[in-house]
Amino acid sequence: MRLVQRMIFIFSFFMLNACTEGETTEIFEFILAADLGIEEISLVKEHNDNLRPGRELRVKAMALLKSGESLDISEDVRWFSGNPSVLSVAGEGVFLAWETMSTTEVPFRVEFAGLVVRSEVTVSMAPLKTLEVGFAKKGISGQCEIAPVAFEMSQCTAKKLCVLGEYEGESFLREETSFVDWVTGGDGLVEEGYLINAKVDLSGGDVNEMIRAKLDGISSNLLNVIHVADMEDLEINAPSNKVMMGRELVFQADSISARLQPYIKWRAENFDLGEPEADVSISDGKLRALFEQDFVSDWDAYGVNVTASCSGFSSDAEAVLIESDVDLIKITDESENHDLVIGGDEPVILTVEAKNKTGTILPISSGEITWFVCSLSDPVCALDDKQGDNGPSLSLLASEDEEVRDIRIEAVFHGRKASREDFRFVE
Amino acid sequence: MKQFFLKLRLRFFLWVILTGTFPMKGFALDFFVVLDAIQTDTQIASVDFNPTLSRLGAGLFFLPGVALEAQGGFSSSPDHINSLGVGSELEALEIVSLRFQSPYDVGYSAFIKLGRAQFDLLAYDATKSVSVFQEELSSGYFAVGLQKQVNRWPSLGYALSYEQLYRDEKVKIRGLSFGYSYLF
Repeated sequence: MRLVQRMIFIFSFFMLNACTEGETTEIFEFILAADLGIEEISLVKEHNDNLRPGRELRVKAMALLKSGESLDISEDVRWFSGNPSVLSVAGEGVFLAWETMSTTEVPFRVEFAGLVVRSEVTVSMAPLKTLEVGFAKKGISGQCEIAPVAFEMSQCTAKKLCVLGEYEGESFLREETSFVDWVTGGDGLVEEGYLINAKVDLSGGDVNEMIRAKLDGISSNLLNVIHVADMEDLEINAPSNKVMMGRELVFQADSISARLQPYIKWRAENFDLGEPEADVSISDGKLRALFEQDFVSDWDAYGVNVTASCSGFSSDAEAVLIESDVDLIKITDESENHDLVIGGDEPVILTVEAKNKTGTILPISSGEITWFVCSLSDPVCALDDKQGDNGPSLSLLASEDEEVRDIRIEAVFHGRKASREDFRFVE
Repeated sequence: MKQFFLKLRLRFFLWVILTGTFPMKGFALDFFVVLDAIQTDTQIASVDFNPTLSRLGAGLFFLPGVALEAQGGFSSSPDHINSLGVGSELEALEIVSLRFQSPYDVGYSAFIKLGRAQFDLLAYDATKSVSVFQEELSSGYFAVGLQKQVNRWPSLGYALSYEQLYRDEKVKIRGLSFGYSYLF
C-alpha cells in the first residue's frame, strides 16, 4: 500500500511540471505599458534608402512616456512583416530583404499592449540589365520562345506570354508575368499573363500588333504578333432549340477556350415571323424571353436569332419560343385585411400559386418571379414598378411617403402574369 | 541558510506523508467537502496584484491518506492599482488535484496537493472599469498546508495553505488560502 502511495505521489510530482498552456503576452504588455507610463510608440528606421536583397534594416521602437522621456522598447514589442517572403523579421527590430521581382513597398508593424504602429520600407530588386518577352511553349513548362520572326495568332485565341531577364549576373525565366507592365499596340489584351485577341476585329483581314513588357524602367524587345483571320466556324450550340417563355436557354461556344468565353459578344434578335415582337435578352450565352405570353397569338411563328461573335467572326443559331408550362396562376395571401397602413410595419406576405395543364402545382424557385406594384390607374405596371428580389413571395409594406392609394399587384412567372387589384394603401 | 531551512521543511513534509502510518479505518473511501477563500499574489510584469477568489470543492479518499479533489472558484474581488489605472482579476478557477494528507496528530494534519489548475486571467483598465484582455490559462498546481480538527466536531477542520497556481516568464500567480473542510 505504501508503495502505491509513493508511486502516485511521484507520478503527481511529474504532472506538476506538465506544460503551461495559455498566452499571457498581451496582458503582460498591457500592465508593463501602464507601469512604464507609455503614452505612444513610434518607429525609427536606421535609414530610408531602398533596401536591396540580402541587406538588413534596423528599426527602433521608441516609447514616449508620461514623464516626457523616451524609452527604447524594441526588445519588448512584437515585430511583423506584411510580406515575409520579401522582408522577413530577422530579430528584434531587424528586417532582412529577400529577392523580389520588382521594386516592392513592404509594410511592417509592431504590436504592444494592444497598440499597433505601422511603417513601410521599399525593397528593390537588383538592377535589371536585360528583359525579353516571348511565348511560352504549350505543354512544356520552363521554355520561352523568343524569335525575330512574327508570331501568328489565330482568330479568337489566347497565348501565354513569358519573360526572360538578367540582373547582376543572375538570369531568370518567368511564366507568371503579373509583375511586368504589358504594352500592347492595338486591340490585343494581356490578361493573367495571356495575350488575348478576342477584342481584335479581324473582319477586315489579318492585323499586325507589337507588344512589349516594361519592368523597373527597362523595356523589353518588341514582339511582332500577326492576328490571323482564319476561323472557319465558331460553333455555338444549346441543349435544345426551344426556349420556354420565362425560362433560360444557355448557348455555349464549345470551340473556344474557357478563358475567352467572357469576350464573346452575344446578340439575340427576334426574327419577324409574327406579331407582336418578343422582348428577349441574352448575356453570357443565356437567352431569356421576358415578356408575357398572353400577347402571343401564334406560337408556331415565334423564334429568335442568336449570334455569337469573337474577333470579327460570328456564328448564328436559332431558337423557337414555346408556350409556358403555366396554365393557371394566381397571387395568394393569408391576410384578412387588404388595407395597408402607410408607414406601418406589419407587412402582408403575398405568394404565387401556379399550375400546369394537368393541374399539377409547379415548383417556384427563388429568382423565377418578377413582382410589380403600381397604381390601379395604370393600365399595366411598368418595368420601373418592379419590387422585391424576385423571390417566391413578396413582403408588401406601404412606405411613409407613399402617395398612391389604390394599387395593382402583378407577378410574372414563366411568362404568365397574375394580378390583384383588391389591396389599398390607407392613412 | 534560508535555502537550508526551506529544504528541511520540504523533506519533513515528504517524510510525514510517505513514511507515516495510514490506518485503513477512517480514511479509505471517505468523502469530504471544502469551502475556502484564496488571496493571490498575481505578479504581471513586476506589478503585484492581489485579487481574491472564493472556492468550493469536494474530494474522495480512495487510498489511506490519498484523495482525489476537485475545486471550483469564482472571483470575489479584483484588485486595482489606481496610480497605474490598471487592475487584474481571476475568474472561473478549476483545480483537479491529488491530496496527500498525513493522519491527525494532536489535532493537526499536514497535506500536499499536486494537480492542474485552469482559470481566466483578466486585465482591467481601472479608469473605465472595463476588461481589456482575457486569457484562459492552465498550469501545474501545487499546494502545501496545515489542517486543524475542531475539537467538538472532529469531522470539521480548518486549514491554511500556500498554493502556486501559475508560473511562466511573464506571469506568476501564488496564493494563501484559508477555509473549512468537512469529512463525511
